[in-house]
Amino acid sequence: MLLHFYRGWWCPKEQAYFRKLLCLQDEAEVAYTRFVSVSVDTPQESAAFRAGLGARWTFLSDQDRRWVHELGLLETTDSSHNPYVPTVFVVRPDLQIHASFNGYWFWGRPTNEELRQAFREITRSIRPDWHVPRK
Amino acid sequence: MSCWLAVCDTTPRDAVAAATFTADDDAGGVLAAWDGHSAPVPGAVKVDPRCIDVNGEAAWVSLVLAAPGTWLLFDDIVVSHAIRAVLAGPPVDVVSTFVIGDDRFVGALTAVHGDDRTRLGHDPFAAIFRARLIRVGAGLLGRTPTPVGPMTQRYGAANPWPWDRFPDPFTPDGVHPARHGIGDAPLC
Repeated sequence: MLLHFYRGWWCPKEQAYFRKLLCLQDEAEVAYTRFVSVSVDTPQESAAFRAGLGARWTFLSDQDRRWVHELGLLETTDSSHNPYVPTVFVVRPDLQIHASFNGYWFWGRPTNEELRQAFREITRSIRPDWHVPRK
Repeated sequence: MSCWLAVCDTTPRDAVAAATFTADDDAGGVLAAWDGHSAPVPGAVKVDPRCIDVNGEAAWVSLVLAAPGTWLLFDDIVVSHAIRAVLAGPPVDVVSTFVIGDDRFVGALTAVHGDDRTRLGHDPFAAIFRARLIRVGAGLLGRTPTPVGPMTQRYGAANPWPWDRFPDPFTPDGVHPARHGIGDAPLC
């Protein structure tokens, strides 16, 4: 699973990064892979942003900023929005974190190729039939 | 083990859960559920077991069922498109496709608890087979976790979407240790 924390709909970096994730959507939908994106946007803003993007994965709202402190992911340098620091986790089915990426600076975010590699490593490690079963 | 659902005239004695339903445009009946490896009655369809809960409240249901003998391959593009539309749309309380055999799509169930049936105004599966809007009594339908997209595939060809896990190969009971007690099916 891709667990993605983002600043909010208003951030140009987020808009650019979502366009990258959208390119991965058609692969993920057939690859037993799920995405979840979390922000401090309201549920209504998240739903509108999601619909506008054409994203078919789950968007969660932490508008009360209940979890941003708990997770230690508050972006302290933006005191007007108090958003999440852009962060991407690649999570195994048992909910262990396989890889994490700090996207405070845009180039810290994973490319789609890095995400493909991470999902390949996870799948290879959990599927005993990664190598084609032989009779 | 699979979970099965069928429309019946009366409550079957061997069903694990059942509830009567009424419909605006048709006679009512009974919607009944079983668990087991094979179809318990003719016309039974496989459903995501998380849909079924003997403690479930009454619900409005959009019931899409293929006519007897009619089906589509689950991988048909119209089925894939309907699943994408479900993932893109607002969440509902219960959703499952219906399957028979290893690869046949024969309908879907979409339900909301409470009285607001307008939430069922757009059922993407209704574009594939005939849909009926029915009111199902308490004791049958629980709540399924909102499917997490963009996954559209079945976890095993014979399982209905959105059932979302393979049997775990590393534990004897097929359930990963971290998943015990999380999202376990309520009944079937």
